[in-house]
Amino acid sequence: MTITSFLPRTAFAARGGARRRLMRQPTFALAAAWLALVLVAAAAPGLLTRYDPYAIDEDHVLAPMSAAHWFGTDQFGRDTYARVVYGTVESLKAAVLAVLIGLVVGSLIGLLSGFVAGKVDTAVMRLVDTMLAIPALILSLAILTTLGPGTISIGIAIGVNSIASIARLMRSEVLSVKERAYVEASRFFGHGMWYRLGRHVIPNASGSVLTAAILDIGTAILGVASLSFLGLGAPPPTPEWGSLVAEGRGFFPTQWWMSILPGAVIAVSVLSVYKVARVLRNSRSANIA
Amino acid sequence: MGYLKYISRRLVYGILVLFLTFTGSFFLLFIVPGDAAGALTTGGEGANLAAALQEQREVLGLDRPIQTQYFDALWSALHGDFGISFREKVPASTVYFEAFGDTLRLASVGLLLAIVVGLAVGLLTQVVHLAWLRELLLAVPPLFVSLPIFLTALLLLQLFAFKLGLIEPFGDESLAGLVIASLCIAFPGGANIAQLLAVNLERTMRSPYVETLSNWGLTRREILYRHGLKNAVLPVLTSFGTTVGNIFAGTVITETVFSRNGVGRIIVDAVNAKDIPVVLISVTISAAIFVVVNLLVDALYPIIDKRIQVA
Repeated sequence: MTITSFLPRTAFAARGGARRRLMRQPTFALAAAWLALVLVAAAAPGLLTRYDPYAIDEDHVLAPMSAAHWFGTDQFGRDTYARVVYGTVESLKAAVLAVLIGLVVGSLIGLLSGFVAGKVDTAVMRLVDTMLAIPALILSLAILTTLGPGTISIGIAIGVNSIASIARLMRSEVLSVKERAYVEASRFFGHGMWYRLGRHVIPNASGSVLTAAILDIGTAILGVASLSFLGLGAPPPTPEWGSLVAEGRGFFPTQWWMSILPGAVIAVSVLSVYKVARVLRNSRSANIA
Repeated sequence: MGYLKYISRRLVYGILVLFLTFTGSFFLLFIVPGDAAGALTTGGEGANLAAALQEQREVLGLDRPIQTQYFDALWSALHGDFGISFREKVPASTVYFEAFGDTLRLASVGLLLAIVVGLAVGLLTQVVHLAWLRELLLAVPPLFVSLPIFLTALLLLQLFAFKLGLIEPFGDESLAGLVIASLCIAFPGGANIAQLLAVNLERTMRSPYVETLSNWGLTRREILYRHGLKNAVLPVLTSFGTTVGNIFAGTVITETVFSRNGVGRIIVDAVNAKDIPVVLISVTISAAIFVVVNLLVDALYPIIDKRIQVA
């Protein structure tokens, strides 16, 4: 019996074998592997399929699922699987842009609001509450009216929705960090506001904000796909996850795989992001505790 | 007295949110190139068209400075007038409220199903003793939260319209059509409620007072129904406004997939046609619904939980 066996087990598990322990959870490993695959599809789609997503093949129109065409082909004989693979980059671009907008703008607003406090804080938080008052999809649609359709527009329209929640989270983190002894001590040593912000407040407040942002990637993928499904994304023939589902709808009763399979890819990706984000958040809180 | 003051403060705050929403959307949509005059003027060429446009702009008051237009629009909106729809050439409020009933019906049935199923599943996770069933009940809600609404809608359409032939695939107006369409929004909404309730029940049932009660001889089930549930439902109630908002937004996709009439389809058409008055009224009414629901939640909260200090 060693002395360590008297100590709480979690404290050691969380540090030493954190990564190994995570990988032992089969669902986490699966989710991580799927996301790695998605990243490959976005970076180098040619590795995952030998078909050209734009190549029209009149001899193989509306082909069913087969070894040659995993997801079948569409009304122009284009390989649906290839279109999903090549569509990844557009969909992911919009989702990442959305999360970055929410993260950067939201963090700045929250930081300002929490650090300056007082009247500025009250006014900013009222604005944030107003943003939260409009259902996400409705706000996105209003923004798209102004921006017009397109991948970048969708990214912006979805990103604006997460600004408010990130700002709130950042503000509450800043408020709690600000009161801690080391920040007070730094102020006592005569360090200026910017130094304290950069040296203490931001590093300590950003952890949970980043975890929330990872979770937001899943929500953003869903939102982007929804808007693209409604026909507000990149114009055809550019493939996008959501618009592929919409394109398949026209052939729905007989060629159901044309829309269901791209839809399943979206669902599995969102599920994987949520899984990974949740495990990361839990292991983070285990580390702190 | 404290309660009245609390409610009136929340009311003023709700009105402020509505005002900011209207103002924000007005200026956001004002940037859109092309205005009502362009949309409402028909015929004419070259100089003729330009003259007609100018005349139309003067008639509509679009030649005035933006702040004048804004206060005018605000004043009209307060009287229910959001301008003439560019596409339909009738008041935007007429276009919107003609479809509102259909969406309200869809959203209400969806919300009702979401609450019933969500509460039932959330509660079952604490009541069921079979380990595998418990795991299943805990695993299903996250799945439904991740499922895109359009995918659920398409699967339901395939099953009920094409395989079973229970409903019409396009714009089924029957009760069966309504219930099946409302399932798409009930699934993610209910999954959210179930998740929240399960987590909170779990936490509540591990709190010290539960142990005290159990030492007094109460069974776990008695504690759960008499005490645990009441405390665990409060966070669910807090997020009710967001749930309603999501369900309302979910109707946009559902109505598109099931080809149903409703506000959702009107919004999508309006966005595509840049029909600004219709977009403006849609955003404002959506926010109004959210404000009203939250006001109701705020009003109920101190009544349900006496510990909450109203001020």
